Amino acid sequence: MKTNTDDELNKMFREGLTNPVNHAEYREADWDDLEAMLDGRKKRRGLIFWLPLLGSVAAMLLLVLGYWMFKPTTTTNNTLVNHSGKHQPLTNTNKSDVLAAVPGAEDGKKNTTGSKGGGIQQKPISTKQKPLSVNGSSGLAFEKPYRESKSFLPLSKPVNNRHIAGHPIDTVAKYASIGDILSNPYSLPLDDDNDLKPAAIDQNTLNNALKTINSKYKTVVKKQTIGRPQFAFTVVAAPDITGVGSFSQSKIGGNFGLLFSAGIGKRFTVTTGAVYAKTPYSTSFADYHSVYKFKTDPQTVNADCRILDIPINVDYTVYNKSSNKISVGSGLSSYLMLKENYHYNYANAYTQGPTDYNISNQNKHFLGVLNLDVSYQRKLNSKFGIDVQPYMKVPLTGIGYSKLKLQTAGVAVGLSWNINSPHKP
Amino acid sequence: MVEDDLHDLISGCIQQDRKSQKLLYKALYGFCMGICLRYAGNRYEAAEIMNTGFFKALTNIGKYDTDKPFKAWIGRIMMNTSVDYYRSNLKAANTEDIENAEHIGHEATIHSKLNYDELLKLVQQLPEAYRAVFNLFAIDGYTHDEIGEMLGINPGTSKSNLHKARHKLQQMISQTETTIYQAPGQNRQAPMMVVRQIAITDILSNRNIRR
Repeated sequence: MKTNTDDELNKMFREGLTNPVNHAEYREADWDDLEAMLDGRKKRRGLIFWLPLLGSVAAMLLLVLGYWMFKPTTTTNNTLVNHSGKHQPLTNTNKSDVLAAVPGAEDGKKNTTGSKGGGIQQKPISTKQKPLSVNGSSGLAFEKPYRESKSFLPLSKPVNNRHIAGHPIDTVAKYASIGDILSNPYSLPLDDDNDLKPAAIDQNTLNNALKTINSKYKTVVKKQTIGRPQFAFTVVAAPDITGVGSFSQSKIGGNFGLLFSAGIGKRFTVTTGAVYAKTPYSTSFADYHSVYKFKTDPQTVNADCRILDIPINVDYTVYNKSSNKISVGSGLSSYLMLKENYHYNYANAYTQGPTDYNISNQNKHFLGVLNLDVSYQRKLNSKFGIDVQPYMKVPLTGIGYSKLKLQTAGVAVGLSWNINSPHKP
Repeated sequence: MVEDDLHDLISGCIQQDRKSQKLLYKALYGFCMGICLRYAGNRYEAAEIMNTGFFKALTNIGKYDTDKPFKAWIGRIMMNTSVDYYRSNLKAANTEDIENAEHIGHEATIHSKLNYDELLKLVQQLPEAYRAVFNLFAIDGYTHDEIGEMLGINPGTSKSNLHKARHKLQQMISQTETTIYQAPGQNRQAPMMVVRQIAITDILSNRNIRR
């Protein structure tokens, strides 16, 4: 009897419910939800597609940065003395070479085959060559009056038999020093007379000139070093607390990530990177937003989220002495919600209703979180440093599925690697 | 829509053509929603389950064997997705063994013939754990061993939950029958009216008449 009743019940429901076509009306909003899911998948596939390209770009960037890092600093001023592509050490012991690097001067030297030393200043070649008068302070004075020269010719074309010609002081005086002349040898005024010969330069004059060059060179190098952006990678780990609206129901989470920073000028640093965050928190159900209609509302919600935090921050250095640096900063973070797990707690443990809700990769908040931080950095050496950074993250938009005002405070501890330190250890 | 028409749409879906995907979705919406409504507590849950199932189907449509009926394939996906949903969201549902099940003395006799909306409403009023087992056993034809494996419970629990589900359904139907006999002077429309008075909101919600 009982079996018959059971069978009858089963049959009634089976027959009544197994052919429900057209009983549920089509709803466009449901398709919109599915389309959003399909679009999300396409975007993720797109990201995967672009990853190799992005990786290549990153590799090229690192290559350029690496070259910049290991490039000898002396080469930064090669243009001061060498336009022929040859690298000539800029030392006082090779003063003659300095001038010899000037194409015209080199040619002149070649034309002095048989003469000892080969230096321009040492061997006046031509009998027509008139002695140079010396501008004792900073430059060369050429005896041949400027008005005698017919034109200025660049030295970039073949300059056989074409040499620095003598010119009156007032002509050459427009160059601040011999350094200026040497730094721009192509613009030297020359006679187009094929009989021009190398000018003889007094040794003392050249010494003074080279001192000026060296002085200027050092200044330039120093300026370039200071003005050059400083790049650093930082590995960070950060315990933090997260709460909704306040920290009264906060829970402890953790972060781990890699940051890249670029110093701009003396004071500013721009930082970006990626931080993986494990963010648990609790909230009362009153703050929780859901499209799902609960028969019996839960009392509280425990959430556990996995977030990829992509910050872009600007820090301003307020103190920087010896090995200590303190800066304050702000910026915006983009949250990519990788996983969101929500657990519902009911007042009555026996209440029937959903206990968990889990979603993945459905919510993204681009530049939706305001970052505020204070950083202290202690340099271990010129390459490495330790960072301690108390920070706070304030939401500018609702975060996650339930659109909560999720705020976070914590202290990040990091190890920095300055990849192009200005001072070699 | 006949199977041949479906196969045209399926070809478009394999090419990830969005128009074909939408047409297929519209064509099978009622069928799939019908399955999901049985397993879900309400229309919102059912829509969520159905979309998850459709997402799985559309992203794995290349694995579909075209020699077999497509509706059976996607129906199976919907059922599996419903079970997954149950398992991930309703871990705390009733899981008593048969030994602890209360004795059910009176078995009601089925006198009335209820329509689809009323039957669906009755099933949806079951607790989640009972509903899942009843659907799988009574409607989809699985054994208790299979149900135990699918839901992550032991077969005894499955039997217990089925037993309780039937008892609760019979109770609800008996209430309807009682209402019928309390008004003997009324015609055959009376039980329908009673059921509608009880569950009119949920039924309309299931049919998307009221949003």
